[in-house]
Amino acid sequence: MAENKEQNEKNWSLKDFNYPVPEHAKKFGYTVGGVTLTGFALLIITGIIMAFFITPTVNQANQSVWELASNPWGFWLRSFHRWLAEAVMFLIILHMSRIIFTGSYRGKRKLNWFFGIVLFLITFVFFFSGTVVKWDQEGYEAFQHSIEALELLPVFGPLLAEFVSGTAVVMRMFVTHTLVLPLLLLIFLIPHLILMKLNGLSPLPGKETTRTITFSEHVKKIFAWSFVIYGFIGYLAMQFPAVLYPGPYSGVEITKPPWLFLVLYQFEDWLGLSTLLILPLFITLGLVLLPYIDSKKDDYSLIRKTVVWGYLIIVAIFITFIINVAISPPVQHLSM
Amino acid sequence: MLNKIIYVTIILIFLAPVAITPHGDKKEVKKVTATTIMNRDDDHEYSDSLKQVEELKTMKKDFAEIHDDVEESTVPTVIKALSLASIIAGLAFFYIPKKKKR
Repeated sequence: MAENKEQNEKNWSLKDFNYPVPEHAKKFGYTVGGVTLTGFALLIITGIIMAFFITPTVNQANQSVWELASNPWGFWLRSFHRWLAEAVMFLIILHMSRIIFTGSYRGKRKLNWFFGIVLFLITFVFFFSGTVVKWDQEGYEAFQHSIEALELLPVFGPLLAEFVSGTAVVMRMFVTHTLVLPLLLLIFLIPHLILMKLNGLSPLPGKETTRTITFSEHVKKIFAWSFVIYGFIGYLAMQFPAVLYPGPYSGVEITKPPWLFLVLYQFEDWLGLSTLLILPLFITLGLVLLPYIDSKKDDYSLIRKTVVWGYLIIVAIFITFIINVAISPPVQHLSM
Repeated sequence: MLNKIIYVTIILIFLAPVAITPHGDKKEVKKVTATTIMNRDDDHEYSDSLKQVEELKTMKKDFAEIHDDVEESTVPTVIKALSLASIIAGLAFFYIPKKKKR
């Protein structure tokens, strides 16, 4: 009771948050999550600025993005936002890879792994909706793929497709991208961070860590990497701007999706549109089952090694698909 | 048990549409507007589709023109300088030696 009173009357300062964390917190692999978070912050800032200039209607969305891009600062801002989104997706995959390599989804960290999967899926939809909002040929083709894939679903599929499409499509995507998804992100990010604090930083596999650094040193490393990575992204955005197409035409498919979706594109070539639903479902299912398959505490168990090698092989296959699709001409998938 | 049945049913619903893929052969090129998107299955009068395909092929040219205009302004220099400054500031965190605590 007296202790509680003392806590309540305490004058909190920044020093109170400077608690000790394991020394390996300064390794790059353990800062990627934090670097991703700063990437999200930059995406929100650039997104808010861009939202002032976008008119989210079918007839005006593309034109408003072109108007934004015709201003040199707007040109860079749009390109930076797109490059940032790609970088954040890449960093999330890197963060997940680190967790898989170190088996950090086991034991008490299982729940946080599930929150992480949800955050990954939200980011995926973020990327997709952002592509559609600019309503150019690339965005339209991406949207049509999603609609035709949704229509394959029985019962709710056609209803959902009907709701999403229509004249208000760009506005609906805009609201999803700027309001619904940020809200969902916040809802799942807060417990993700709280659980990380409660569980502590995951240990290095097979090593007992006794040496510590302060939390502020960990944060400094996160900011240092953020400055380097996002500085580089800023440069790339000016040097190699993200291409913008004019307003869309139906009946032709001349664009290919961003790199992450190229894996889906490859499977779509072989098995058809339904893979757009099935492959993400299988990947998500695999990620959800991971803590149940690999649950032993032993860092050198056969299952642990199989998971790591299996993951590496899947990543290698996916990279091969991405390269294959990137160098191949666009293929017709839709019936529009 | 009921929960398991629900889970399996949901998964089966998602897996059901395997194999059906619409591959349209007779496509018509149409400009997408608020009117066409409302009537996706209707026929529209678009006779000059070849011309529109040509227009699609030159899409990247328009963007390149804007890029050229932007390159002529001072903004790219400012952005690149700021980006490089950010990279150097980040690297400084790693390479500038710190005082060791006693």
